[in-house]
Amino acid sequence: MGRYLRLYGHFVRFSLSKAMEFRFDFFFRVFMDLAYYGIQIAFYNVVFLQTTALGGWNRDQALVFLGGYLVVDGIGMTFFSNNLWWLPNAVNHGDLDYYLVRPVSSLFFLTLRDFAANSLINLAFALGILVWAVLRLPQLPGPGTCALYLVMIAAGALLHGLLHLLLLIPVFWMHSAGSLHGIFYSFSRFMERPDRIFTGWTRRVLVTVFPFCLMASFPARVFLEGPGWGIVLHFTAVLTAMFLFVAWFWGKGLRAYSSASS
Amino acid sequence: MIAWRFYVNNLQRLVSYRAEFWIGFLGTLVSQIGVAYFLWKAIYQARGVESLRGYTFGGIMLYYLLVPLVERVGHAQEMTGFSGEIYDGGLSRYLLYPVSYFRIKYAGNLAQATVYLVQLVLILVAYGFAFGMPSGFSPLSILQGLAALGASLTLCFFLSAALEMVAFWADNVWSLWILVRMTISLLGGGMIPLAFFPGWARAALAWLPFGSLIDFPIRCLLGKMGCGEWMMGLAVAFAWAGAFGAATAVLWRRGLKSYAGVGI
Repeated sequence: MGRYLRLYGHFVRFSLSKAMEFRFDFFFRVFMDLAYYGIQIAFYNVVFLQTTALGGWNRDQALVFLGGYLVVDGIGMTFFSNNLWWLPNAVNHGDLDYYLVRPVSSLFFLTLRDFAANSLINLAFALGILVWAVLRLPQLPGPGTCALYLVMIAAGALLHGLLHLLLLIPVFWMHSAGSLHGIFYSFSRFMERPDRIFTGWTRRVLVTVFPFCLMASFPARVFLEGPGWGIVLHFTAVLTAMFLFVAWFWGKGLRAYSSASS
Repeated sequence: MIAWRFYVNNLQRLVSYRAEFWIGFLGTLVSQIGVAYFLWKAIYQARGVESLRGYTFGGIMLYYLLVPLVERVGHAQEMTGFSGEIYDGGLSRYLLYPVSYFRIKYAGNLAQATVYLVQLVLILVAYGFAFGMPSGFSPLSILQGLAALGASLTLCFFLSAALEMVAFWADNVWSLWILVRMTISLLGGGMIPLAFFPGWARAALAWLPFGSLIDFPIRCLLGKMGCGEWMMGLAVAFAWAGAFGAATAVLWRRGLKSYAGVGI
């Protein structure tokens, strides 16, 4: 464990020095994500001109949900996104070989090697938006609920990374991965809205098989409506099942890996 | 003639990547419409009304069906590729051609737009068979819509070109384009029809280029445009296209002076 932490420290240091080489791009990326945050807030403001409640939440509560979603997204962007973006290339070009021969977990190396320093700044802004939204609430939950919320938000970010990885693993059997990224980013739209607006089979799929609606909505429900053990158990069960399935599927993918470039 | 060859070549290349093309398209379509369906169903149910800002629930679903189709025809989703050629030095070969670089690129864009226009027509026909043609749909609205799509394509081409000329001096313009794309999505009516914005915002947006890229062509196709409003919309779109075209010309001339032709 200590060895992995030290290695991660090296990843972070290397990524920070690399980010400082391209400063124009670095600040543009920060600004780009800030604009995304502004656009999401503006969207909810326009929606709440038409209605007083959405998915059981009023405007202030929906903004807490949005703040949580932005934090989940910010954590994912900081720790996983850059790595997952390049993963299909490594498989297609045969570059995976370099990672498989190293004396550490290939999954650890491939999913955490590139730390996005610009997204860390955005994560700080996302946390600021969350705090701003929480302070608008008439009543704050207790410290236990707040702590549980933060743990669930972190777990939601892990789930976000796992689901992205799950949708990329078929690249071991396919030659092109452009559409796999596209599918993940397209379906991430479901995560941006409160889970209770979805109904029927769509909702069941979105909180179990492809749990986009679990990542930000369930933590927000715990924070805004109190910790129901049903929600926490459901969340934990889906996260555990997803982790085990991705680990198994990754192993299957590695066995199918031919190392030949295409 | 060379521009025509580029048009034909691009058309052939696009059709040959059919699987990627349809997977990407269907993924966007299903997710965009899926989220919009549940979001607006919740809003209409909460309000208990048949129509909001001139849109019935069915009308607003048709709007969201048209958003990705119209975005694709106008290419409001992707860069035109100038920056890539500046970075890798690929621009050099175009400078030797006996035809304008921008004419070649516009022909390539037109080829892509042709494919996406066929896609739009096929989906609209399928929609017509399944649900019946929308009430405002008429030969006039089709003509208005085609003209608006042409304006959107031209505007987006020059907007993208002006933006990508920054690549002569900056190492990555991708994030700049994503920024503009997100702005287009909100202020152009991709995320929510502009009719739902407050009055002051609608008045300001009528003079900005974003609405010309998504909301304007869709409202034309849906027959929600009077002739005066349509002509005004076209004038705004072409005025912005001209402004971005002029900016592109200035940046192009200056950029070529600093272009080394060896790639980064």
